[in-house]
Amino acid sequence: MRESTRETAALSGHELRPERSHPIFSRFMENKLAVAGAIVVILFYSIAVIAPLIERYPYTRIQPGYRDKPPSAEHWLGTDRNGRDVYARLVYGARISLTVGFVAVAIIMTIGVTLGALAGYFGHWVDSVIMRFTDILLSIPQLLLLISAAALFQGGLKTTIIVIGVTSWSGAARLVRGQFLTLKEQEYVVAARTIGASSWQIIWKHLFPNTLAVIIVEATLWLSFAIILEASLSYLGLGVQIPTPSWGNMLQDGQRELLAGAWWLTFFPGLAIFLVVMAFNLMGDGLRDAFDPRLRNR
Amino acid sequence: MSGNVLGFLIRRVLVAIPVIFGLTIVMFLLIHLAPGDPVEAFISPGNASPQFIEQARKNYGLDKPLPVQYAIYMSHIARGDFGTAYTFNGKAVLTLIKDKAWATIVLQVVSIVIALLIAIPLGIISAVKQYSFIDNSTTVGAFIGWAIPNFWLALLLQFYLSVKLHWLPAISTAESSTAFPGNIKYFIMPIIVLALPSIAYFARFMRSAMLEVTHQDYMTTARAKGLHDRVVLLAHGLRNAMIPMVTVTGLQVARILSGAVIIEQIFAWPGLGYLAYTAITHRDYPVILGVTIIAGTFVILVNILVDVLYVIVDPRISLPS
Repeated sequence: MRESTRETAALSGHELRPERSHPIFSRFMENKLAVAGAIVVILFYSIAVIAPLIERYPYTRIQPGYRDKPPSAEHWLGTDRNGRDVYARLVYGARISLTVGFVAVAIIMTIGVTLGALAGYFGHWVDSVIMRFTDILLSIPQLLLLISAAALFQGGLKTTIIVIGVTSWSGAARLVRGQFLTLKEQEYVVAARTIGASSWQIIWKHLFPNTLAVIIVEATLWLSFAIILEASLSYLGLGVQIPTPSWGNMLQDGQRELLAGAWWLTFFPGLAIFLVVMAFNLMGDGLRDAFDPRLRNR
Repeated sequence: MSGNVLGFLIRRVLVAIPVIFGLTIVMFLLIHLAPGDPVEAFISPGNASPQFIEQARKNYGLDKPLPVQYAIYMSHIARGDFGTAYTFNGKAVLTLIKDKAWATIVLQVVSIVIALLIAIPLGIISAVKQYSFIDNSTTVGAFIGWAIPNFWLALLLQFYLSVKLHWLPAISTAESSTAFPGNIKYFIMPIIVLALPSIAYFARFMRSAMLEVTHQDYMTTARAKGLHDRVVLLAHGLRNAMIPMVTVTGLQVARILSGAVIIEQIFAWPGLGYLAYTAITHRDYPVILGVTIIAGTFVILVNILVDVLYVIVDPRISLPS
């Protein structure tokens, strides 16, 4: 019962209502917080792309005599235990963390949307099988599942991405299934079926485009979750491994020095995670409101 | 009515049984298909002869085919036996879990209660005084509270409150640290870290539930009857707005073990999250399986409980027959 109540809530929340006179874009631009979020996201992705140009020092360079130096003109964000430049590692870490987030969300959305679409469109046993599997995945506390998988398959960049992607798609699958369930009963879909459109055509040409808004919002919010998950895994030492810098493993590496007062090793990577997560959330919220203005201020 | 609820409960439990079975299969496969071997993980490599390793594998039943291992495991579980740990001095898994559960439960329950006590009034005020200073601050604060990584917040608090100001102990030092409320100073930082995102989540939800309720017909009716605005809000509005909060609180309760893993690691909190993490890094299969299966079952039970509560508190919901 609650499942269907939740779904209805999600539906009314996400349903795309195109209004020709009020383009989605201009509605998004009116929301200052969302625009700020989008700007921060673009800024961080730009930093990730041009990391080699702005790193100032090679991020792996170990400088003897520069152990745990506080921020200075020479090393903007200080140096770590091995005398490596924190700014350079942060900028390169942006590359790693954002890439993990992006690829993991691509996997999440591919699996989630495909399974959700199949379940919603075909119903019956296909639906039952997929939904029971979703229930199983949702019942295991996510971080527990994630660290089990990451630890058992040995940490590393690829493992981290795959593990996050493969364990996180259940929410997206439920959402898309719910959308498909309502949409497939709508007149234009019934009409399309009547004139002999194939299942593939109906899914691809009619149902999918009308679910796109929901998918985009979900993907944006998942970008922030995926970055947090990567950081959590790497923080626990089970994700991206040093010397490859990621914001999460920088936090892990720096926490030992924190008790000795070297706050810059943990403050800056954490701040970066916080800003990106916040920016994605603001952007996702703005997108949701832009797609469905009835939801404003809820 | 109550017969209806009972039928609903029975149906939900019946649906949950295959899910719990599936859960055990997924975890079993995950653990046994992963590369590496627990025996090699806890016997220092190089020291043991191949015969010794072979014997150890035999003792733990790891030499049998997977389906056989699974069947044996499940038959033991059915008798309430989750096996003994490879590490942790070979204690029984269930004993380990029982020993550690209390620390986690106390910390998490206190955090959720505190979060609700702060978030519900905040949400109500935000909704009643929409766009006021309090409302806007709550909205911004909720975004910040939700986005702030919990491990980062924990490290910052440890740095300022323990290292700099020496106000609070950085980590719990013994099992006795988790006595509540006697050792409350050990609780303060973990509670702040755990409660903050919950406050953000609850407050935003409470606000939207209140806003939704304010526009309902029965509210207009109550006002039309001449009731004072405040009476209408608290007597009619609040009661109805609290209904969805049951679901949200349930979801948060179901999530506690995910939150526990990191927080307990940072604060050296001797709870289930700590146990799970240690077991995972040591490849202690029986403990990993035991913790995840019990945690998963707990999540499923909480979800059922929430569904049933929801039906009981909101008589408008019609039960699917």
